[in-house]
Amino acid sequence: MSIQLSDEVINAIKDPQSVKVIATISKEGIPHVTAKGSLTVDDNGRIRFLELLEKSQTQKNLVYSIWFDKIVAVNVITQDKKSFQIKGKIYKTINSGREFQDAYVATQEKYGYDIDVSAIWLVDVDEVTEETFAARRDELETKYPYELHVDRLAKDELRFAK
Amino acid sequence: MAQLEFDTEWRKKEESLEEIIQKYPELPPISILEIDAHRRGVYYTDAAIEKLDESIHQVTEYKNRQGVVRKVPASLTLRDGSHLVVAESDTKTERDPFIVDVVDGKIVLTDQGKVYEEVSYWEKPKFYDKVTSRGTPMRDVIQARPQRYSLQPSKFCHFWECAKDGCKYCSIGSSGVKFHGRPDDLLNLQDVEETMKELVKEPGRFVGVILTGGSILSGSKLCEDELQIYIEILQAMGTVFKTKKWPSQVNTTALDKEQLQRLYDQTGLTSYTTDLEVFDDELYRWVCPGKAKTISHEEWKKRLFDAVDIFGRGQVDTGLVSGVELAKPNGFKSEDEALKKDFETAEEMASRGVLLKHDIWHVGDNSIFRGQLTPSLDYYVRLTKGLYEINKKYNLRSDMDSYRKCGMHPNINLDRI
Repeated sequence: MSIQLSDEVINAIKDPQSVKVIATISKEGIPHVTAKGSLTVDDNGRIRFLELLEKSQTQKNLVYSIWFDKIVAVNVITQDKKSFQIKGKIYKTINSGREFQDAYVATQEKYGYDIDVSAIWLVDVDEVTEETFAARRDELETKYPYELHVDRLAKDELRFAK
Repeated sequence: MAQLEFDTEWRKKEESLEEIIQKYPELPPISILEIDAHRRGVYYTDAAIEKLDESIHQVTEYKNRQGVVRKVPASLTLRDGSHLVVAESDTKTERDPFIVDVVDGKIVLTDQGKVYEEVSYWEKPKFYDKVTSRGTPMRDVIQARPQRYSLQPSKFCHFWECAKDGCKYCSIGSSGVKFHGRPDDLLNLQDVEETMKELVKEPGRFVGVILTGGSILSGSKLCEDELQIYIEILQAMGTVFKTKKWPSQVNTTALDKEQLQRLYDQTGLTSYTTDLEVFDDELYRWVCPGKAKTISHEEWKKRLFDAVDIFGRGQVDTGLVSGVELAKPNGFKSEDEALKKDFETAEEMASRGVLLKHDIWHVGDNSIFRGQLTPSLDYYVRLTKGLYEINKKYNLRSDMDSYRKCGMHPNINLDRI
């Protein structure tokens, strides 16, 4: 069951200054993480990105994911160091037709005519978590208040005594 | 569905798609579905046909068994980007076909009311609406699949000069007889060059080409005329490319080594196919009598090995029309027996650098084998797995005939991961 992305996350994804990476796994279960500058959100709220290389490990892993219903993960890091992790399953890939050819032309116009495009990939979003350190710390330390080193709870005059 | 005839009991006689998917968890369910759709064919509901837009999609028009003319999509693309190569006109009626329908606004592939996959229709290239300076519609010169284009250098197959010599499964050969001696049997080089000039103006449209047509046995030696025609067409095509070699494949009659060398040296061709069709000598002589009289099974294999010397490992492949090895009355009596022989020949070929593929047999109404029954889905899955594993064992690359460049070879399609 896919979910809707918040405006904050959509804006983070669409900001060209954000860093976006995707993690996939191979058929042998080996993780693979690559940057995806093309990653965006389409009009249906799905994650959309391009894979430029037909024979890349990411491409193989994406095919593996759609074939065997595996989860892929995306991380978006904004300029102000906010981080959002998005998990989901592949909806479909588009490697021919008008939509694909438009993406091919746009990519070449932007990056040069020696660039190829293998496919557009679309991901249904199932889960979004904010992975910004402060946000994760607040959440986890509230949930697990005794998972910490005890010196952090010591009285200051003892903790910081020389 | 009312006008389709099929054995209503067939589902009771073999394992179902669901059972086969459960039985082979190491294979992607979508690939097993694809095999079954190739095996059983498809049928479009009125709602599915309403989604067809002739300004965008590739359309096929044919007359069905009831004499009704139907305009239907050329074929389908699945969610994983693989392409089904199955026209409704090929739909076999010994088993009921998958139904292409519209559910919640989406075009879907269904069976017995269950939605299996969302699909999309093939789109046509821009050159399909253009004509050459000679007035030839460019769609008659070059045909398109979603990512590859193809040319048919000759429509008449010389093995059909005498009907009993034709390959018994082949509808293309029997349909091509009417072109015997006609000026439109062969492609015109000017048409080819002009169509190619339009084709390469479509960015991101194609990744490869195949040339294949009827065998031409004439010439100063066997197939010399066929070779010359292919060389001339490839040279005409090559005028639009800036590199000497460009992604390409031919599927010809088995040429001898000297002919193969000329084909390689004088054109931009990068890969070579000649199909053994049947992986058993005795059955080859029964199923393909004309071929067998002209080039023996052993000689055909030798010519494939020679092609590897010239084009390189992984740049030469051969296929079988999978299922004809079980045709009645002379075929193998059991699927196990057929697979044993298929894999034995497959090992021999792959060990010498020849990539393996199979094309699922469509029992054409105008083929000599009309009315025969194709094997079970289990048979096709086992064959697919076996050929995939043998190609892997011998470390044979398959990109020359990949899902993008053909789509009809289920074992090669598995190489995507």
